[in-house]
Amino acid sequence: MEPAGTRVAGFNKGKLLNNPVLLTLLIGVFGGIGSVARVFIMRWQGVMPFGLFLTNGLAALLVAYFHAGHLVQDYLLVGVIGLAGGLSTFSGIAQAGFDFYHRGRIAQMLLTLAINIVFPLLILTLVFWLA
Amino acid sequence: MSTSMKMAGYVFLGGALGSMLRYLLSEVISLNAEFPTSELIALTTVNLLGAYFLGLTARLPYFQTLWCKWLWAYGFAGGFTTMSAVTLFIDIHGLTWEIFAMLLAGVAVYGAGWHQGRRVQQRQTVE
Repeated sequence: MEPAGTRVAGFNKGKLLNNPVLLTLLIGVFGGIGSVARVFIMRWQGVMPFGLFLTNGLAALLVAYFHAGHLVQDYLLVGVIGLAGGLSTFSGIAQAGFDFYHRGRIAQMLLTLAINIVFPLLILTLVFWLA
Repeated sequence: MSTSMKMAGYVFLGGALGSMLRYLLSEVISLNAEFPTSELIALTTVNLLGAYFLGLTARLPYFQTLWCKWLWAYGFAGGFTTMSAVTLFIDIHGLTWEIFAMLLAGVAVYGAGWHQGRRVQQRQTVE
């Protein structure tokens, strides 16, 4: 597969990307929307932080969907860095991991870290495979 | 205005600020290094900084009001860090030791921020 990173050499820049201020503001708006969605999804707490897995999984799904070519190239950055970036969280993983560690639950901590890597990766692979 | 709406407003503001800052920071870093390395450096910097900041907000007295929590912890720290880019990076470059190091360092750095915040909190309580 072609490398799908946002800063690959020869990345096709559209009209929107020629205006860096507008692009940054749009990323901010979509990042805000993603953050609000994340906070509401992350209320789902149980034995494990299921909401955290779900947000990161959803963000991976969005990234894969955008990169699979279902979005105009101009808005790829906004969708991936803004919406998916705002929706997914790394600090939440660190928080959940540290909370488990602090309570002496090392197995749950390691499981949280592992699931947060494997679950979004599975979704990403699945969407790339289906697309 | 209901509490939920107020929270959404603060989280939106913090998330927007965090996302813009993350984008600008990764753009600056990408000027100084080649593509795969720059992406990794940017992701590590952003995620570890965000995790440390969230650790600080958990215990530092300044962040103990409700709106500060919404704006800085839920909004800013969450929007500033990213996992989707890490997932994409793993998909392209494979699961390397750097990713494991970043995850464990994230927990350690959050702990460092948490303890630092608690120390300030205890000092203020004594005074």
